[in-house]
Amino acid sequence: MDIELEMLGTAAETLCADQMPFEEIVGRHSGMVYSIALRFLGDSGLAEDVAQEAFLRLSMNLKHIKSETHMALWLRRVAARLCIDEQRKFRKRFVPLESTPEPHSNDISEDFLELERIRALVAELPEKTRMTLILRFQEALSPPEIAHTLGTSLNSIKSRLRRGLATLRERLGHTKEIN
Amino acid sequence: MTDNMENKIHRALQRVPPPPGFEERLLAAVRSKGPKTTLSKKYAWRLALAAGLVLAISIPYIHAHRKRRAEEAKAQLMLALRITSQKLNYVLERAMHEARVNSNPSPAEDTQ
Repeated sequence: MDIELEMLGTAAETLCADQMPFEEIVGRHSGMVYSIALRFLGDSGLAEDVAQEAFLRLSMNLKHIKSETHMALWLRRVAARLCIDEQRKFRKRFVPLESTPEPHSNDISEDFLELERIRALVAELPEKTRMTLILRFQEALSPPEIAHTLGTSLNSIKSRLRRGLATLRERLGHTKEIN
Repeated sequence: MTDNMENKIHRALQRVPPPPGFEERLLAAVRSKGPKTTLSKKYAWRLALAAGLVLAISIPYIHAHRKRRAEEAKAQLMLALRITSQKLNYVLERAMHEARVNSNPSPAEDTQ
């Protein structure tokens, strides 16, 4: 089936989005949009701004939304574009502190530090590669779904994934060697 | 090795829960900007179009009306000037006639 049609959702889940209470839509999808923006931009204030703008645009385009799946796709696409625009405005890259969970045990485990290191390395990746990795690993989208979301070719997405993973592997290996 | 690495990236990039009050702030922002902006933009556009149409239609009429008023005023001024001129001519003729009469007394008066 065509990826576009597949993403619009099945007839069974078709909804009239403009009839669903907006609070419910926000409740279902705001976490996803916020999280994509926070992982990408590394700043909770900017992430909230991006989420607000994405939902503002959604409120103006509700009549075009055909299903729940379409809504999630639409929001991811808008969030990704807004994040990249925001990044280009500020050119800031820093480690998202808000994403760091508090360690529960008294001592910080090696596993915790490694996850933290991965987050920091992802934050240092070029913007398109970073967004591709976020959509692949946070949102668990397949490469064709990522290509559709970002409006780019499947080959380009596969190449970004390969490059991104290779960079992470190389840098993680390098830091392990140093340690 | 690769699976382990990808699994770690999955764990590192789990969704982050939004801070407390996030949804309320988001809804408030959308409510304050959203519908109003949409409506005002929509109506502003229509209003601007209507105003443009009214101006486009009425400007030639306004121009013609002003021209007609100016021509009427001009005609009235010309009439007033003509009347004034006639009055002045009349007064001048009378004055000249009086002067002529005073400088040439009638023969009947001379013989007496």
